[in-house]
Amino acid sequence: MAGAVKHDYHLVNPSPWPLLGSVSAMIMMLGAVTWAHSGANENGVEVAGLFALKGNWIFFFGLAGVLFTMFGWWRDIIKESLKGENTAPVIRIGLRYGMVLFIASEVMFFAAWFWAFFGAALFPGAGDPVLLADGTQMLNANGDPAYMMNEGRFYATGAQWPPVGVEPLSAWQLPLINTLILLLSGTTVTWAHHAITIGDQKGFVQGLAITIALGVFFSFLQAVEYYEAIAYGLFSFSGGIYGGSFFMATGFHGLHVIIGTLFLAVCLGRALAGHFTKDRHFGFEAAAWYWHFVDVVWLFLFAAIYVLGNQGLLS
Amino acid sequence: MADAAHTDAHAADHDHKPSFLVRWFYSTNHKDIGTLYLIFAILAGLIGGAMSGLMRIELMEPGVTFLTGFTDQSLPPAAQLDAAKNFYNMLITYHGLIMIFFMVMPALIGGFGNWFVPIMIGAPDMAFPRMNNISFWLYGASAFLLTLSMFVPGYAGQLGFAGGWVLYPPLSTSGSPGPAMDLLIVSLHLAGASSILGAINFITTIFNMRAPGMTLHKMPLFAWSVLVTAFLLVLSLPVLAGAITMLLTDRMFGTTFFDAAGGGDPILYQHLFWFFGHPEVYILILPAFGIISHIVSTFSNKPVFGYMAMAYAMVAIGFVGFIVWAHHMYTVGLSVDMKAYFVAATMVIAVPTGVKIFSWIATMWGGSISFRTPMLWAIGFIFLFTVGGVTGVVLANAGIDHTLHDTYYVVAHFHYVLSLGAVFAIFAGWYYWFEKMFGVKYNEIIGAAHFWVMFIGVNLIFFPQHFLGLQGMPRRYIDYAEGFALWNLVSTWGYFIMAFGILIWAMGVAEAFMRRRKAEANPWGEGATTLEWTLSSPPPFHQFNELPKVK
Amino acid sequence: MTNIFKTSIATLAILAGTTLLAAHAQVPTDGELGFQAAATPLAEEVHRFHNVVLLPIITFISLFVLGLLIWVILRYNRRANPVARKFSHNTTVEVLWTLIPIFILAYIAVFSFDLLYKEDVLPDGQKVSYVSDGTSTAYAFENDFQQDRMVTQSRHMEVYVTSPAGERTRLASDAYSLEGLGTPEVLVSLESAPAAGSEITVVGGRSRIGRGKFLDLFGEDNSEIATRPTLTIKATGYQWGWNYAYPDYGDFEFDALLAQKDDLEDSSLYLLAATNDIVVPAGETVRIITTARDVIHSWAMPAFTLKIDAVPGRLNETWFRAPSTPGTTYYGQCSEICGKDHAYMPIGLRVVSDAEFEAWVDEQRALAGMDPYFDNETRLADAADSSDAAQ
Ligand code: HEA
Ligand code: HEA
Ligand code: CUA
Ligand SMILES: [Cu+2]
Repeated sequence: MAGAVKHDYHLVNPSPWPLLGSVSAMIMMLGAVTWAHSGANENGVEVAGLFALKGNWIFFFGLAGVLFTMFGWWRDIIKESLKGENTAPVIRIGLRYGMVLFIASEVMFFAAWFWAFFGAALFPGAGDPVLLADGTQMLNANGDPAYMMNEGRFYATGAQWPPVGVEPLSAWQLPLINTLILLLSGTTVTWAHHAITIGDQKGFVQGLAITIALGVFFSFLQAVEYYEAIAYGLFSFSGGIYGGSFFMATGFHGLHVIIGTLFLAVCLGRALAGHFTKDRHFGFEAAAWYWHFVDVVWLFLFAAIYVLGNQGLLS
Repeated sequence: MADAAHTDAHAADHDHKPSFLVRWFYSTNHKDIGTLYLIFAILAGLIGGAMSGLMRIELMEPGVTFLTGFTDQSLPPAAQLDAAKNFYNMLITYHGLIMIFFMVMPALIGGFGNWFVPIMIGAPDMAFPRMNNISFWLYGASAFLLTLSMFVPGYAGQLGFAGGWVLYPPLSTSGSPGPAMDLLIVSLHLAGASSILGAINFITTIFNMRAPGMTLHKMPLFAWSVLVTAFLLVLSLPVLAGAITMLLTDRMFGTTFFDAAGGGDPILYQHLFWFFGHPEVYILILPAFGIISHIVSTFSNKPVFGYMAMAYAMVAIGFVGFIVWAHHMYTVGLSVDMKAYFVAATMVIAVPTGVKIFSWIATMWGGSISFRTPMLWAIGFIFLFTVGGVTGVVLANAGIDHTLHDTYYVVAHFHYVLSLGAVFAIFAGWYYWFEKMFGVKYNEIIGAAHFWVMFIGVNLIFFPQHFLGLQGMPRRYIDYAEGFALWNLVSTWGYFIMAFGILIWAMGVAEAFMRRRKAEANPWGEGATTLEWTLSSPPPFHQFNELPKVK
Repeated sequence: MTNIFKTSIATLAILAGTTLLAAHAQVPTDGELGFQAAATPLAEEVHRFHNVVLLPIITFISLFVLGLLIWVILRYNRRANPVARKFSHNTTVEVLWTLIPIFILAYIAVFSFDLLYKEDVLPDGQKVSYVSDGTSTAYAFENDFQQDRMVTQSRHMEVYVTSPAGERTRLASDAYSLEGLGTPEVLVSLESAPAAGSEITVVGGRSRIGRGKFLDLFGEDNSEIATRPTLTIKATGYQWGWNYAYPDYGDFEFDALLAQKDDLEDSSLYLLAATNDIVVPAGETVRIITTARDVIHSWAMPAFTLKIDAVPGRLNETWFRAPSTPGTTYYGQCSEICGKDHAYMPIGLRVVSDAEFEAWVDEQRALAGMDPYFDNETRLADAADSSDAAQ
């Protein structure tokens, strides 16, 4: 049975990238932890993080390794693709499965952040007051009336969402504009997709370029919004559940926008280099799917955090 | 089935293998990566097992008698005692993490899954061979960071994180300010990334690379089990990633996800953790179910009874596994209606699991059973897993779990399903495929001796722990009242017997590789029907250059 | 089983800063196979659910699987059955082994839910006491429960008579009649007036605890109406000890740390005994509210089958009906890993008579610089109030 290969699967040559990438990721993580633990201690003395090391250069060294790995690895893939090694239909189906599953796992990652948000926004208060045998209300250690269940949150948020002391951003200003931008970018990326399927390279490049521009614009507006929230002291990242869940959920989304933009930008480069054809453009398709995913997550964020949450409709 | 050289542009497609370094460090071959995983799992198992030895010896009698010997002897006795207490808590934490993440998962999924899923479905390799390799090396990176975290400060000058494998805040946030916990978090991030990539790889391989004629409903059950497991991984691990990221930002950047004083909630973490954690325990056992099905059928010389029910029972277990998580949280202050729901949902899982147990027995029924070593482990598995499963049903009842939660009854339950369930399946698979993987025969007598000694040992370790739990002994205790002494002593003696069993196993491996008895393609006869038995032992570096056809 | 009740020593009581003595201690017993003896009616029910329902079922299932395995091993090994049959389906057995477990689980669930709701819903039964003047036979009971909980049937009410000598008996249901069930005031008319000076206690409510009939069919009914908590204790866990407060009595508080081995005469109490015990009056319903200062702890009391986490920033509650016989101390331990000394934050709970409880409360209040709560005057006034209310 052995003999010439009689199937279309892609048997990959041994590759240095997985090992290099893993070691780099490890160094990067190690650096991040070391970095976070170095700096001024409570007495104002500069201390090293771990093993007398300052973390920042370790972190950047690792990061460089990771970036180098990504570059090298994907360059290999592109090369293989140009040589036609990984372009058999069955391989392209496999890549589709891979991308869909990756996006599914990303969705579950966001599920965690939505869980944190809804947990706090839907149930900002506490349970019943604690009544003593004579009908009076028990007091807590601070001398305030005690409540069952999440008493800490009751006092921290004032039993409302958005919590007391938080001035939420209006949904109908920048967030709405950002929603429109992302929706528009969803159509432009579809335009690009349509163009390439009919072989219209020019339309493809145009659609792609506009999508990228919209993505950059979105990130810019998001940065403006963050700046406003922080500069005007509406709420802050640390110290309260509102800021934490707001910045982490929208921040991870923003990170995904940036990654998606880069992904599309690479596609644009490849488009200009003529890598994509009418029936072979999976790299772009994956980027487009990813972009749609980022888009949908934003719609949920917009509806949940900005519209329902900030308007006080959840609690 | 000779593997003659063939011609192709790729170096790796030749059957002359790449040089040692390239072969093992740059590998894109599923069998080599599977072997790497197995070696990794064995090392982790030995380390995790040694840690449990330190724990058991400490628990042999009341008083802190043993672990002080591992502390800095120049310290005053009180400080030594503190260090020993911290060390004990650290041991249970890392024992749990190592056994679950670095022993069972790499052995069952990374090791056996990598080796046999592609072969069983008639595929030449995994769908994404390079990604397969980064899954492995990320595990290595993760293990390195985990190990490192044991040696850096955690709480108040003590080393390591010492708060249990579930990493509950605030003990894992404000309660352990040192870098140990941060290293642990990033270690789990890498392990999670590795597993997600691996899972994507398995699903794609199984959906997309089955040989012509191999429909899903003809696919061997081990492949089915890995398929379901992979889905559980893809959908549950990212939630853990989110949870531990929140831990990290709470620790480092002052967010208050788990801090009630800032409007957060420590219980949120437990929900997120167990939303992952419960599917995780089925991730640990489903591939074991798959292996047992093959072994039982092979050695009974009979096809698997109720194949479709077996496959869909696993799907059902996987599905229901996502909606029962809060049975780990009956004492945190959930509302009574919520508890009632989780009681009902949890008990439902016993039904599909029962279908599997009875179908295995029905597979043997009417068969012609030969008791080779893998079959011994498989039969041991069926019985011991049942014992562990039914105590799970006891715990599922919130009204009882209020008293049994966080006692040794729980420890007994999960070791029966893990250390006597998953581990028995790992050894079953190890003996079943040993010859296939390594091209040499193991010694049946040593194998049987290994089984019996381990069987007696682990039961002695864990059965008495039920009694301790019922009497109320809390878990994660370095020291206990005199009233718990006897069963702890028995348990520790069981450990020594079990450890002797592991020694026999190691001797068996050494013997097999020294004697080098030539392996057959199919040592088990006509009962062994899956595709791996059509290949040579070991299989050619690249199998199925011409895809097999399945009728 | 023999040494479930171990005599303990005065050291403990002295440590507890009180002159009262703990007569007995209930501790875990070496070599024991099951639960610690149940100390509350609810614990009895938990034990019964485990010992009568669950344990037989899981033992049977395990032995059944083992039996089947042994059977196939003996009957279908290669020597006994050289030629394997090739069947792989049998719809009947497949349906059976799906349906039978479902029935078993449903059977378990019936008891499980019942028990769970009993444990988790604070009882709201009410109790009034009157001192008999030797002639009155009619006594009032205010039926002022929350909606749907009103007393509407005769089995929602119980009447007890405690003789001046302190002997308490429950009156048989034909020894009194009830009027006004389902209305705001229920009138209890006794057949005959109890001796002067004896205490009449009328208990009403829908919460029942204790062993009822099995499946409502077999055995004796030993259940009784559970009254709502009369005492709330707040337990605050911290690294590494417990702080207890009694908000009903002026919120005095005290800390309970590990009692050192050298301070204990009975070494079997080491790791169980704390420097201070919680003290509760016998027979009363007590509510425990838990919280924590630093990390999560868990307040557990095996003899009461109780465990409830103490979480910083949150309040949780649980309850128990204290054993009716005073004099025993029960022990529990922190049950959620909380760092280095997790194994060293024990919980002691001493059940005492009413009089001892009152003396203890006043002693604690004195330690906290407060006036006595139970001076003789209030006690006399209380008694007078009750007899005024009698009709
Ligand atoms: C392989 C891992 C594994 C598996 C398969 C299981 C299986 C089950 N587990 Fe277990 N469990 C763990 C690993 C596992 N568990 C771990 C690690 C913990 C502790 C984590 C920690 O806190 O550190 C835990 C804890 C745990 C708890 C929490 C206890 C506590 O902390 O208080 C509960 C409660 O419901 C529970 C229930 C169950 C149930 C109902 C099953 C069921 O799936 C079992 C089903 C199987 C059977 C029932 C046997 C076969 C069936 C038949 C023969 C049919 C007839 C049977 C009946 C009708 C009953 N488990
Ligand atoms: C898979 C999981 C697993 C396994 C196998 C084990 C195995 C063992 N465990 Fe443990 N254990 C846990 C998971 C596991 N454990 C978890 C999750 C906890 C809870 C931690 C916490 O509280 O946070 C725990 C806690 C725990 C405790 C409670 C500590 C406490 O609460 O204070 C104890 C005490 O006796 C204990 C003992 C043991 C012993 C004696 C073994 C022995 O069986 C060990 C013997 C060793 C082996 C059986 C491994 C052999 C395997 C190999 C050598 C690899 C072979 C590989 C191939 C062939 C490919 N374990
Ligand atoms: Cu406090 Cu454990
Ligand atoms: Cu679970």
